[in-house]
Amino acid sequence: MLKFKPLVPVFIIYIILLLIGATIPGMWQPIMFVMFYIAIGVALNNFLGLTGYVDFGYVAFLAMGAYGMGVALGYFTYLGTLAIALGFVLALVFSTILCTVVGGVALRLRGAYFAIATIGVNEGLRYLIEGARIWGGSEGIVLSGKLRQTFGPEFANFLSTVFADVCLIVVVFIASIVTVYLINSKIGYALLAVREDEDAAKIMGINVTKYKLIAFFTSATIGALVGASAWTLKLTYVFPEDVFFIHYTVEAIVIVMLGGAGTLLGPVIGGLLYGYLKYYLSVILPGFQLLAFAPLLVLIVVAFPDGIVGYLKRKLRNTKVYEYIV
Amino acid sequence: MLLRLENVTKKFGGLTAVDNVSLVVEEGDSIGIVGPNGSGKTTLYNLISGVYMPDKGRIFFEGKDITRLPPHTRASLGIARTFQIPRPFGAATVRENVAIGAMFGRAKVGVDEALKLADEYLKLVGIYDLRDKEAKLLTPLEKKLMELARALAMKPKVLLLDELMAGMNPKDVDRIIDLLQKIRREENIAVVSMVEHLMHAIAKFAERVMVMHQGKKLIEGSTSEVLRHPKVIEVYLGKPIT
Repeated sequence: MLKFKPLVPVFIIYIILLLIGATIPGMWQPIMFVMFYIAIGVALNNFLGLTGYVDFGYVAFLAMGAYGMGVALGYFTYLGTLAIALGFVLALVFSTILCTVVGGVALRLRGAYFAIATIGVNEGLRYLIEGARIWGGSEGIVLSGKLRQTFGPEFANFLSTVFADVCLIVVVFIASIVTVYLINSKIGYALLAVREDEDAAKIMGINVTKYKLIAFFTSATIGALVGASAWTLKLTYVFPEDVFFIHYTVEAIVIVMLGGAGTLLGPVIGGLLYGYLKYYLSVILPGFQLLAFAPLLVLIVVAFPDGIVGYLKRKLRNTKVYEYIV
Repeated sequence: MLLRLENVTKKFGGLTAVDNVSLVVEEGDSIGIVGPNGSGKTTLYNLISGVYMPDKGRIFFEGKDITRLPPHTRASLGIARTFQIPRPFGAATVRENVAIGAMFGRAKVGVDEALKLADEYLKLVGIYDLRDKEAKLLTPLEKKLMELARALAMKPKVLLLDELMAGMNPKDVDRIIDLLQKIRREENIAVVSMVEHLMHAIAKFAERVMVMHQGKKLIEGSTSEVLRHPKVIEVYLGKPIT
Protein backbone atom coordinates (compact mmCIF):
# COMPACT_ATOMS: atom_id res chain seq x y z
CA MET A 1 0.00 0.00 0.00
CA LEU A 2 3.02 2.21 0.47
CA LYS A 3 3.06 2.81 -3.25
CA PHE A 4 -0.32 4.52 -3.12
CA LYS A 5 0.90 7.20 -0.70
CA PRO A 6 1.36 9.70 -3.55
CA LEU A 7 -2.42 9.63 -4.02
CA VAL A 8 -2.85 11.35 -0.65
CA PRO A 9 -1.90 14.91 -1.70
CA VAL A 10 -3.78 14.49 -4.99
CA PHE A 11 -6.98 13.37 -3.31
CA ILE A 12 -6.65 16.12 -0.69
CA ILE A 13 -6.52 18.68 -3.50
CA TYR A 14 -9.59 17.16 -5.17
CA ILE A 15 -11.56 17.08 -1.93
CA ILE A 16 -10.65 20.65 -0.96
CA LEU A 17 -11.68 21.83 -4.42
CA LEU A 18 -14.99 20.01 -4.22
CA LEU A 19 -15.65 21.30 -0.68
CA ILE A 20 -15.00 24.86 -1.83
CA GLY A 21 -17.38 24.32 -4.73
CA ALA A 22 -20.08 22.77 -2.59
CA THR A 23 -20.00 25.26 0.29
CA ILE A 24 -19.20 28.66 -1.21
CA PRO A 25 -22.11 29.96 -3.29
CA GLY A 26 -21.26 30.58 -6.91
CA MET A 27 -18.05 28.53 -6.76
CA TRP A 28 -19.34 25.21 -8.14
CA GLN A 29 -19.09 26.21 -11.81
CA PRO A 30 -15.55 27.70 -11.53
CA ILE A 31 -14.45 24.58 -9.66
CA MET A 32 -15.88 22.31 -12.34
CA PHE A 33 -14.15 24.47 -14.94
CA VAL A 34 -10.86 23.81 -13.15
CA MET A 35 -11.74 20.11 -12.74
CA PHE A 36 -12.12 19.82 -16.51
CA TYR A 37 -8.59 21.11 -17.00
CA ILE A 38 -7.25 18.79 -14.33
CA ALA A 39 -9.06 15.93 -16.07
CA ILE A 40 -7.56 16.54 -19.52
CA GLY A 41 -4.15 17.08 -17.91
CA VAL A 42 -4.23 13.81 -15.97
CA ALA A 43 -5.65 11.97 -18.99
CA LEU A 44 -3.03 13.21 -21.45
CA ASN A 45 -0.24 12.78 -18.90
CA ASN A 46 -0.82 9.02 -19.01
CA PHE A 47 0.50 9.18 -22.56
CA LEU A 48 2.54 12.36 -23.04
CA GLY A 49 4.02 12.30 -19.55
CA LEU A 50 4.80 8.60 -19.44
CA THR A 51 6.10 8.09 -22.99
CA GLY A 52 7.45 11.54 -23.87
CA TYR A 53 5.52 11.40 -27.15
CA VAL A 54 3.53 14.53 -28.06
CA ASP A 55 0.08 13.80 -29.45
CA PHE A 56 -1.29 16.91 -31.17
CA GLY A 57 -4.45 15.05 -32.10
CA TYR A 58 -5.33 14.18 -28.53
CA VAL A 59 -8.61 16.09 -28.52
CA ALA A 60 -9.91 13.62 -31.12
CA PHE A 61 -10.27 11.10 -28.27
CA LEU A 62 -12.39 13.53 -26.29
CA ALA A 63 -14.36 14.04 -29.48
CA MET A 64 -14.85 10.27 -29.87
CA GLY A 65 -16.16 10.16 -26.31
CA ALA A 66 -18.42 13.12 -26.93
CA TYR A 67 -19.78 11.53 -30.10
CA GLY A 68 -20.22 8.16 -28.39
CA MET A 69 -22.45 9.73 -25.78
CA GLY A 70 -24.05 12.03 -28.38
CA VAL A 71 -24.96 9.16 -30.71
CA ALA A 72 -26.40 7.11 -27.84
CA LEU A 73 -28.51 9.95 -26.47
CA GLY A 74 -29.45 11.34 -29.87
CA TYR A 75 -30.29 8.17 -31.81
CA PHE A 76 -31.19 5.74 -29.02
CA THR A 77 -33.06 8.12 -26.74
CA TYR A 78 -35.94 5.62 -26.52
CA LEU A 79 -33.74 3.35 -24.39
CA GLY A 80 -34.22 5.79 -21.51
CA THR A 81 -31.53 5.76 -18.85
CA LEU A 82 -29.95 2.77 -20.59
CA ALA A 83 -28.97 5.17 -23.37
CA ILE A 84 -26.56 6.86 -20.92
CA ALA A 85 -24.85 3.55 -20.18
CA LEU A 86 -24.78 2.86 -23.92
CA GLY A 87 -23.27 6.32 -24.34
CA PHE A 88 -20.29 5.43 -22.16
CA VAL A 89 -19.90 2.11 -23.96
CA LEU A 90 -19.95 3.80 -27.36
CA ALA A 91 -17.53 6.45 -26.11
CA LEU A 92 -15.09 3.65 -25.25
CA VAL A 93 -15.75 1.77 -28.50
CA PHE A 94 -15.20 4.84 -30.70
CA SER A 95 -12.05 5.90 -28.89
CA THR A 96 -10.68 2.34 -28.94
CA ILE A 97 -11.23 2.10 -32.69
CA LEU A 98 -9.45 5.41 -33.28
CA CYS A 99 -6.75 4.41 -30.81
CA THR A 100 -6.09 1.13 -32.60
CA VAL A 101 -5.90 2.78 -36.02
CA VAL A 102 -3.75 5.74 -34.97
CA GLY A 103 -1.67 3.79 -32.46
CA GLY A 104 -1.04 0.85 -34.73
CA VAL A 105 0.25 3.08 -37.50
CA ALA A 106 1.58 6.29 -35.96
CA LEU A 107 3.20 4.86 -32.82
CA ARG A 108 5.79 3.20 -35.01
CA LEU A 109 6.98 6.71 -35.84
CA ARG A 110 9.46 8.49 -33.63
CA GLY A 111 9.07 11.74 -31.72
CA ALA A 112 8.38 14.65 -34.06
CA TYR A 113 7.08 12.42 -36.88
CA PHE A 114 4.48 11.03 -34.54
CA ALA A 115 3.43 14.54 -33.47
CA ILE A 116 2.98 15.63 -37.09
CA ALA A 117 1.01 12.52 -38.01
CA THR A 118 -1.42 13.05 -35.15
CA ILE A 119 -2.29 16.62 -36.16
CA GLY A 120 -3.52 15.22 -39.47
CA VAL A 121 -5.70 12.62 -37.76
CA ASN A 122 -7.63 15.21 -35.75
CA GLU A 123 -8.31 17.56 -38.66
CA GLY A 124 -9.01 14.72 -41.08
CA LEU A 125 -11.56 13.16 -38.79
CA ARG A 126 -13.35 16.47 -38.30
CA TYR A 127 -13.61 17.12 -42.04
CA LEU A 128 -14.74 13.54 -42.59
CA ILE A 129 -17.63 13.99 -40.15
CA GLU A 130 -18.54 17.40 -41.58
CA GLY A 131 -18.07 16.53 -45.24
CA ALA A 132 -19.69 13.08 -45.23
CA ARG A 133 -22.48 14.42 -43.02
CA ILE A 134 -21.94 11.70 -40.42
CA TRP A 135 -23.99 12.15 -37.22
CA GLY A 136 -25.52 15.39 -38.43
CA GLY A 137 -22.35 16.63 -40.10
CA SER A 138 -21.44 20.20 -39.26
CA GLU A 139 -24.83 20.73 -37.60
CA GLY A 140 -23.77 18.24 -34.96
CA ILE A 141 -26.08 16.52 -32.51
CA VAL A 142 -28.38 18.68 -30.36
CA LEU A 143 -29.82 16.80 -27.43
CA SER A 144 -31.61 19.22 -25.12
CA GLY A 145 -35.05 18.87 -26.72
CA LYS A 146 -34.89 15.07 -26.96
CA LEU A 147 -33.66 14.72 -23.38
CA ARG A 148 -36.47 16.91 -22.06
CA GLN A 149 -39.06 14.92 -24.06
CA THR A 150 -37.81 11.53 -22.94
CA PHE A 151 -36.74 12.16 -19.34
CA GLY A 152 -38.89 15.15 -18.41
CA PRO A 153 -37.43 18.62 -17.76
CA GLU A 154 -36.33 17.90 -14.19
CA PHE A 155 -34.37 14.74 -14.84
CA ALA A 156 -32.89 16.20 -18.03
CA ASN A 157 -31.71 19.15 -15.99
CA PHE A 158 -30.28 16.80 -13.34
CA LEU A 159 -28.39 14.91 -16.04
CA SER A 160 -26.71 17.98 -17.49
CA THR A 161 -25.82 19.51 -14.13
CA VAL A 162 -25.30 17.14 -11.19
CA PHE A 163 -24.87 13.85 -13.07
CA ALA A 164 -22.44 15.23 -15.66
CA ASP A 165 -20.30 16.81 -12.94
CA VAL A 166 -20.31 13.67 -10.79
CA CYS A 167 -19.24 11.61 -13.80
CA LEU A 168 -16.32 13.96 -14.46
CA ILE A 169 -15.27 13.86 -10.79
CA VAL A 170 -15.36 10.06 -10.79
CA VAL A 171 -13.28 9.99 -13.99
CA VAL A 172 -10.71 12.34 -12.44
CA PHE A 173 -10.34 10.13 -9.35
CA ILE A 174 -10.07 6.96 -11.43
CA ALA A 175 -7.58 8.60 -13.80
CA SER A 176 -5.25 9.44 -10.91
CA ILE A 177 -5.45 5.91 -9.52
CA VAL A 178 -4.64 4.58 -12.98
CA THR A 179 -1.62 6.89 -13.23
CA VAL A 180 -0.19 5.78 -9.89
CA TYR A 181 -0.75 2.15 -10.83
CA LEU A 182 1.03 2.64 -14.17
CA ILE A 183 3.97 4.49 -12.64
CA ASN A 184 4.59 1.77 -10.05
CA SER A 185 4.10 -1.20 -12.33
CA LYS A 186 6.41 -2.79 -14.86
CA ILE A 187 4.60 -0.70 -17.46
CA GLY A 188 5.80 2.47 -15.73
CA TYR A 189 9.42 1.29 -15.71
CA ALA A 190 9.22 0.24 -19.35
CA LEU A 191 7.88 3.66 -20.28
CA LEU A 192 10.52 5.38 -18.19
CA ALA A 193 13.10 3.56 -20.28
CA VAL A 194 11.31 4.45 -23.52
CA ARG A 195 11.20 8.10 -22.50
CA GLU A 196 14.89 8.21 -21.72
CA ASP A 197 16.34 6.14 -24.55
CA GLU A 198 14.04 4.14 -26.76
CA ASP A 199 16.80 2.22 -28.55
CA ALA A 200 18.50 1.23 -25.33
CA ALA A 201 15.07 0.19 -24.00
CA LYS A 202 14.67 -2.24 -26.91
CA ILE A 203 18.07 -3.73 -26.23
CA MET A 204 17.02 -4.25 -22.59
CA GLY A 205 14.20 -6.49 -23.80
CA ILE A 206 11.38 -3.97 -23.71
CA ASN A 207 8.74 -4.34 -26.41
CA VAL A 208 8.47 -0.59 -26.83
CA THR A 209 5.52 -0.59 -29.24
CA LYS A 210 3.47 -2.66 -26.81
CA TYR A 211 4.07 -0.37 -23.85
CA LYS A 212 3.53 2.78 -25.88
CA LEU A 213 0.21 1.32 -27.05
CA ILE A 214 -0.82 0.57 -23.45
CA ALA A 215 -0.17 4.18 -22.46
CA PHE A 216 -1.87 5.47 -25.60
CA PHE A 217 -4.93 3.33 -25.00
CA THR A 218 -5.19 4.27 -21.30
CA SER A 219 -4.89 7.95 -22.08
CA ALA A 220 -7.41 7.74 -24.93
CA THR A 221 -9.95 5.86 -22.80
CA ILE A 222 -9.83 8.43 -20.02
CA GLY A 223 -10.03 11.24 -22.58
CA ALA A 224 -13.13 9.66 -24.12
CA LEU A 225 -14.83 9.46 -20.71
CA VAL A 226 -14.00 13.13 -20.09
CA GLY A 227 -15.48 14.06 -23.48
CA ALA A 228 -18.64 12.04 -22.82
CA SER A 229 -19.27 13.60 -19.41
CA ALA A 230 -17.84 17.12 -19.49
CA TRP A 231 -19.00 17.88 -23.01
CA THR A 232 -22.00 15.86 -24.22
CA LEU A 233 -23.74 15.23 -20.91
CA LYS A 234 -23.04 18.68 -19.53
CA LEU A 235 -23.56 20.83 -22.62
CA THR A 236 -26.21 18.59 -24.26
CA TYR A 237 -24.84 19.13 -27.75
CA VAL A 238 -21.93 17.91 -29.90
CA PHE A 239 -20.58 20.17 -32.63
CA PRO A 240 -17.59 18.99 -34.66
CA GLU A 241 -15.87 22.38 -34.68
CA ASP A 242 -16.01 22.37 -30.86
CA VAL A 243 -15.00 18.80 -30.06
CA PHE A 244 -12.15 18.68 -32.59
CA PHE A 245 -10.86 22.13 -31.59
CA ILE A 246 -7.05 21.72 -31.48
CA HIS A 247 -6.86 24.41 -28.81
CA TYR A 248 -7.87 21.84 -26.17
CA THR A 249 -4.93 19.61 -27.12
CA VAL A 250 -2.54 22.53 -26.75
CA GLU A 251 -4.08 23.42 -23.39
CA ALA A 252 -3.68 19.83 -22.19
CA ILE A 253 -0.02 19.79 -23.31
CA VAL A 254 0.62 23.08 -21.49
CA ILE A 255 -0.99 21.71 -18.32
CA VAL A 256 1.16 18.57 -18.38
CA MET A 257 4.40 20.49 -19.06
CA LEU A 258 3.59 23.18 -16.52
CA GLY A 259 2.82 20.75 -13.72
CA GLY A 260 5.50 18.18 -14.50
CA ALA A 261 5.29 15.49 -17.19
CA GLY A 262 5.23 11.91 -16.03
CA THR A 263 4.38 12.77 -12.43
CA LEU A 264 1.08 12.04 -10.69
CA LEU A 265 0.71 15.38 -8.96
CA GLY A 266 1.99 17.42 -11.92
CA PRO A 267 -1.07 17.58 -14.17
CA VAL A 268 -3.25 18.18 -11.10
CA ILE A 269 -1.25 21.25 -10.10
CA GLY A 270 -0.92 22.24 -13.76
CA GLY A 271 -4.65 21.93 -14.39
CA LEU A 272 -5.46 23.78 -11.19
CA LEU A 273 -3.16 26.68 -12.02
CA TYR A 274 -4.11 26.81 -15.67
CA GLY A 275 -7.86 26.57 -15.07
CA TYR A 276 -7.76 29.08 -12.25
CA LEU A 277 -5.65 31.59 -14.20
CA LYS A 278 -7.74 31.22 -17.31
CA TYR A 279 -10.98 31.72 -15.39
CA TYR A 280 -9.88 34.73 -13.38
CA LEU A 281 -7.89 36.40 -16.12
CA SER A 282 -11.02 36.33 -18.24
CA VAL A 283 -12.87 38.00 -15.35
CA ILE A 284 -10.19 40.58 -14.53
CA LEU A 285 -8.97 41.27 -18.07
CA PRO A 286 -11.84 40.21 -20.31
CA GLY A 287 -10.62 39.87 -23.86
CA PHE A 288 -6.98 40.17 -22.84
CA GLN A 289 -6.66 36.90 -20.95
CA LEU A 290 -4.72 35.18 -23.72
CA LEU A 291 -2.35 38.12 -24.07
CA ALA A 292 -1.59 38.07 -20.37
CA PHE A 293 -1.51 34.31 -20.32
CA ALA A 294 1.23 33.72 -22.86
CA PRO A 295 4.06 35.62 -21.10
CA LEU A 296 2.96 34.14 -17.78
CA LEU A 297 3.26 30.63 -19.17
CA VAL A 298 6.63 31.40 -20.75
CA LEU A 299 7.83 32.64 -17.39
CA ILE A 300 6.68 29.54 -15.54
CA VAL A 301 8.16 27.18 -18.11
CA VAL A 302 11.49 29.03 -18.02
CA ALA A 303 11.56 28.96 -14.22
CA PHE A 304 10.50 25.30 -13.98
CA PRO A 305 11.73 23.39 -17.04
CA ASP A 306 10.73 20.06 -15.43
CA GLY A 307 7.38 21.47 -14.38
CA ILE A 308 6.45 22.57 -10.92
CA VAL A 309 6.31 19.08 -9.49
CA GLY A 310 9.58 18.12 -11.18
CA TYR A 311 11.16 21.08 -9.43
CA LEU A 312 9.59 20.16 -6.09
CA LYS A 313 10.77 16.57 -6.40
CA ARG A 314 14.35 17.74 -6.84
CA LYS A 315 14.12 20.09 -3.87
CA LEU A 316 12.46 17.59 -1.56
CA ARG A 317 14.68 14.59 -2.30
CA ASN A 318 15.76 12.87 0.93
CA THR A 319 12.98 14.44 2.97
CA LYS A 320 9.98 12.74 4.52
CA VAL A 321 7.44 14.28 2.15
CA TYR A 322 9.34 12.97 -0.88
CA GLU A 323 7.48 9.68 -1.07
CA TYR A 324 4.18 11.55 -1.22
CA ILE A 325 5.25 13.45 -4.29
CA VAL A 326 5.38 11.38 -7.43
CA MET B 1 26.15 -24.01 -29.85
CA LEU B 2 24.88 -20.89 -28.15
CA LEU B 3 25.37 -18.21 -30.78
CA ARG B 4 26.32 -18.73 -34.40
CA LEU B 5 26.89 -16.12 -37.08
CA GLU B 6 26.88 -17.52 -40.58
CA ASN B 7 28.53 -15.42 -43.31
CA VAL B 8 26.99 -12.20 -42.04
CA THR B 9 27.29 -9.09 -44.22
CA LYS B 10 26.07 -5.55 -43.55
CA LYS B 11 26.44 -2.66 -45.99
CA PHE B 12 25.82 1.03 -45.45
CA GLY B 13 25.55 2.44 -48.95
CA GLY B 14 28.87 1.72 -50.61
CA LEU B 15 30.61 0.79 -47.38
CA THR B 16 30.67 -2.82 -46.30
CA ALA B 17 30.86 -2.49 -42.53
CA VAL B 18 30.75 -6.20 -41.85
CA ASP B 19 31.92 -8.46 -44.63
CA ASN B 20 31.07 -12.15 -44.62
CA VAL B 21 31.87 -12.77 -40.95
CA SER B 22 31.18 -16.08 -39.23
CA LEU B 23 31.57 -16.69 -35.53
CA VAL B 24 30.61 -19.36 -33.03
CA VAL B 25 30.11 -18.70 -29.33
CA GLU B 26 29.67 -21.65 -26.95
CA GLU B 27 28.19 -21.51 -23.47
CA GLY B 28 30.57 -20.03 -20.94
CA ASP B 29 32.99 -18.96 -23.66
CA SER B 30 35.28 -16.02 -23.28
CA ILE B 31 35.93 -14.37 -26.59
CA GLY B 32 37.77 -11.19 -27.44
CA ILE B 33 36.96 -9.23 -30.56
CA VAL B 34 39.83 -7.01 -31.51
CA GLY B 35 40.26 -4.47 -34.23
CA PRO B 36 41.04 -0.85 -34.96
CA ASN B 37 38.44 1.91 -35.10
CA GLY B 38 36.08 1.36 -38.05
CA SER B 39 36.85 -2.33 -38.43
CA GLY B 40 33.18 -3.28 -38.00
CA LYS B 41 33.18 -4.42 -34.38
CA THR B 42 30.28 -2.27 -33.22
CA THR B 43 28.27 -3.07 -36.35
CA LEU B 44 28.79 -6.74 -35.58
CA TYR B 45 27.34 -6.17 -32.09
CA ASN B 46 24.45 -4.25 -33.57
CA LEU B 47 23.73 -7.20 -35.86
CA ILE B 48 23.80 -9.66 -32.97
CA SER B 49 21.62 -7.55 -30.69
CA GLY B 50 19.17 -6.73 -33.47
CA VAL B 51 19.72 -3.02 -33.99
CA TYR B 52 20.40 -3.84 -37.66
CA MET B 53 19.32 -6.74 -39.82
CA PRO B 54 22.13 -8.20 -41.94
CA ASP B 55 22.01 -7.87 -45.72
CA LYS B 56 23.32 -11.37 -46.09
CA GLY B 57 23.94 -14.32 -43.84
CA ARG B 58 22.06 -15.69 -40.85
CA ILE B 59 22.31 -15.56 -37.08
CA PHE B 60 21.31 -18.46 -34.83
CA PHE B 61 20.83 -18.49 -31.07
CA GLU B 62 20.46 -21.87 -29.38
CA GLY B 63 19.73 -23.37 -32.78
CA LYS B 64 16.93 -20.89 -33.50
CA ASP B 65 17.18 -18.51 -36.45
CA ILE B 66 17.07 -15.01 -34.96
CA THR B 67 18.22 -13.11 -38.05
CA ARG B 68 14.93 -11.23 -38.39
CA LEU B 69 13.87 -11.04 -34.74
CA PRO B 70 13.47 -7.60 -33.11
CA PRO B 71 15.98 -6.56 -30.41
CA HIS B 72 13.61 -7.03 -27.47
CA THR B 73 12.92 -10.65 -28.41
CA ARG B 74 16.65 -11.35 -28.62
CA ALA B 75 17.09 -9.81 -25.18
CA SER B 76 14.38 -12.13 -23.85
CA LEU B 77 16.23 -15.10 -25.31
CA GLY B 78 19.37 -14.10 -23.43
CA ILE B 79 21.44 -11.61 -25.40
CA ALA B 80 22.63 -8.62 -23.37
CA ARG B 81 25.09 -5.89 -24.20
CA THR B 82 26.69 -2.70 -23.00
CA PHE B 83 27.44 0.34 -25.14
CA GLN B 84 30.76 1.95 -25.95
CA ILE B 85 29.27 5.32 -25.06
CA PRO B 86 27.05 4.39 -22.11
CA ARG B 87 23.32 4.84 -22.59
CA PRO B 88 21.82 5.11 -19.15
CA PHE B 89 18.17 5.93 -18.55
CA GLY B 90 19.29 9.34 -17.29
CA ALA B 91 16.35 10.48 -15.22
CA ALA B 92 16.01 7.12 -13.48
CA THR B 93 18.12 6.24 -10.46
CA VAL B 94 21.02 3.83 -10.79
CA ARG B 95 18.98 1.23 -8.93
CA GLU B 96 16.00 1.68 -11.26
CA ASN B 97 18.27 1.35 -14.29
CA VAL B 98 19.53 -2.03 -13.13
CA ALA B 99 16.03 -3.08 -12.02
CA ILE B 100 14.74 -2.39 -15.53
CA GLY B 101 17.30 -4.92 -16.75
CA ALA B 102 15.91 -7.54 -14.36
CA MET B 103 12.26 -6.73 -15.15
CA PHE B 104 12.72 -7.26 -18.85
CA GLY B 105 15.70 -9.03 -20.41
CA ARG B 106 15.59 -12.79 -19.84
CA ALA B 107 14.98 -12.61 -16.09
CA LYS B 108 11.54 -10.91 -16.32
CA VAL B 109 10.90 -10.67 -12.58
CA GLY B 110 8.35 -8.43 -10.86
CA VAL B 111 9.05 -4.87 -9.79
CA ASP B 112 9.81 -5.57 -6.11
CA GLU B 113 12.09 -8.51 -6.81
CA ALA B 114 13.83 -6.56 -9.58
CA LEU B 115 14.68 -3.74 -7.18
CA LYS B 116 16.09 -6.29 -4.73
CA LEU B 117 18.13 -7.97 -7.46
CA ALA B 118 19.36 -4.57 -8.58
CA ASP B 119 20.94 -4.03 -5.15
CA GLU B 120 22.77 -7.34 -5.45
CA TYR B 121 24.18 -6.55 -8.87
CA LEU B 122 25.19 -3.06 -7.78
CA LYS B 123 27.12 -4.59 -4.88
CA LEU B 124 28.70 -7.06 -7.30
CA VAL B 125 30.09 -4.38 -9.60
CA GLY B 126 30.89 -2.13 -6.64
CA ILE B 127 28.65 0.92 -7.11
CA TYR B 128 26.00 0.12 -4.49
CA ASP B 129 26.65 3.45 -2.76
CA LEU B 130 25.47 5.28 -5.87
CA ARG B 131 22.14 3.46 -6.09
CA ASP B 132 19.87 6.45 -5.37
CA LYS B 133 21.69 8.83 -7.66
CA GLU B 134 20.17 9.88 -10.97
CA ALA B 135 22.03 7.89 -13.61
CA LYS B 136 22.86 10.96 -15.70
CA LEU B 137 24.91 12.33 -12.79
CA LEU B 138 27.38 9.42 -12.82
CA THR B 139 30.89 9.71 -14.22
CA PRO B 140 31.47 7.90 -17.54
CA LEU B 141 33.25 5.12 -15.68
CA GLU B 142 30.44 4.69 -13.17
CA LYS B 143 27.99 4.63 -16.05
CA LYS B 144 29.93 1.74 -17.59
CA LEU B 145 29.80 -0.21 -14.36
CA MET B 146 26.08 0.51 -14.11
CA GLU B 147 25.59 -0.79 -17.64
CA LEU B 148 27.45 -3.95 -16.70
CA ALA B 149 25.17 -4.42 -13.68
CA ARG B 150 22.13 -3.70 -15.85
CA ALA B 151 23.21 -6.22 -18.47
CA LEU B 152 23.93 -8.87 -15.82
CA ALA B 153 20.55 -8.26 -14.20
CA MET B 154 18.96 -9.35 -17.48
CA LYS B 155 20.28 -12.87 -16.72
CA PRO B 156 21.78 -13.23 -20.19
CA LYS B 157 23.32 -16.33 -21.72
CA VAL B 158 25.70 -14.23 -23.75
CA LEU B 159 27.03 -10.88 -22.66
CA LEU B 160 28.43 -8.52 -25.29
CA LEU B 161 30.79 -5.93 -23.83
CA ASP B 162 31.66 -2.90 -25.94
CA GLU B 163 34.93 -1.32 -24.82
CA LEU B 164 33.87 -1.86 -21.24
CA MET B 165 37.35 -1.54 -19.80
CA ALA B 166 38.57 1.36 -21.94
CA GLY B 167 39.52 4.26 -19.73
CA MET B 168 39.65 2.23 -16.53
CA ASN B 169 42.74 2.21 -14.38
CA PRO B 170 44.69 -1.10 -14.25
CA LYS B 171 43.30 -1.92 -10.83
CA ASP B 172 39.71 -1.60 -12.01
CA VAL B 173 40.52 -3.59 -15.15
CA ASP B 174 41.82 -6.45 -12.98
CA ARG B 175 38.78 -6.24 -10.73
CA ILE B 176 36.37 -6.35 -13.68
CA ILE B 177 38.27 -9.25 -15.27
CA ASP B 178 38.02 -11.20 -12.00
CA LEU B 179 34.33 -10.39 -11.84
CA LEU B 180 33.72 -11.52 -15.41
CA GLN B 181 35.64 -14.76 -14.82
CA LYS B 182 33.52 -15.37 -11.74
CA ILE B 183 30.18 -14.90 -13.47
CA ARG B 184 31.35 -17.04 -16.36
CA ARG B 185 32.16 -19.86 -13.97
CA GLU B 186 29.15 -19.48 -11.71
CA GLU B 187 26.40 -18.66 -14.19
CA ASN B 188 27.95 -20.14 -17.32
CA ILE B 189 27.49 -16.87 -19.22
CA ALA B 190 29.44 -16.51 -22.43
CA VAL B 191 31.29 -13.22 -22.48
CA VAL B 192 32.24 -11.52 -25.72
CA SER B 193 34.47 -8.56 -25.16
CA MET B 194 35.30 -5.99 -27.78
CA VAL B 195 38.47 -4.04 -27.49
CA GLU B 196 40.39 -1.51 -29.53
CA HIS B 197 43.53 -1.01 -27.48
CA LEU B 198 43.49 -2.98 -24.26
CA MET B 199 45.42 -5.99 -25.58
CA HIS B 200 46.77 -6.87 -22.18
CA ALA B 201 43.26 -7.17 -20.75
CA ILE B 202 42.25 -9.37 -23.67
CA ALA B 203 45.37 -11.47 -23.30
CA LYS B 204 44.50 -12.02 -19.68
CA PHE B 205 40.78 -12.57 -20.09
CA ALA B 206 39.89 -14.10 -23.44
CA GLU B 207 40.42 -17.72 -24.39
CA ARG B 208 39.73 -17.07 -28.02
CA VAL B 209 40.27 -13.94 -30.07
CA MET B 210 38.87 -12.78 -33.38
CA VAL B 211 40.68 -9.95 -35.12
CA MET B 212 38.68 -7.75 -37.45
CA HIS B 213 40.08 -5.56 -40.18
CA GLN B 214 38.05 -3.45 -42.62
CA GLY B 215 34.87 -5.38 -41.87
CA LYS B 216 36.46 -8.76 -42.48
CA LYS B 217 37.56 -11.43 -40.10
CA LEU B 218 41.34 -11.30 -40.30
CA ILE B 219 41.95 -14.29 -38.10
CA GLU B 220 40.40 -16.26 -35.27
CA GLY B 221 41.98 -18.66 -32.82
CA SER B 222 43.31 -19.17 -29.34
CA THR B 223 44.46 -15.95 -27.73
CA SER B 224 48.17 -16.75 -27.50
CA GLU B 225 48.25 -17.98 -31.10
CA VAL B 226 46.43 -14.99 -32.53
CA LEU B 227 48.40 -12.35 -30.69
CA ARG B 228 51.65 -13.85 -32.01
CA HIS B 229 50.44 -14.29 -35.55
CA PRO B 230 52.65 -12.33 -37.98
CA LYS B 231 49.65 -11.00 -39.94
CA VAL B 232 48.10 -9.56 -36.78
CA ILE B 233 51.37 -8.01 -35.75
CA GLU B 234 51.80 -6.54 -39.20
CA VAL B 235 48.40 -4.88 -39.65
CA TYR B 236 47.52 -4.15 -36.09
CA LEU B 237 49.81 -4.63 -33.16
CA GLY B 238 53.16 -3.44 -34.49
CA LYS B 239 54.98 -5.67 -32.00
CA PRO B 240 54.14 -8.95 -30.26
CA ILE B 241 52.20 -8.85 -27.00
CA THR B 242 54.01 -10.56 -24.20
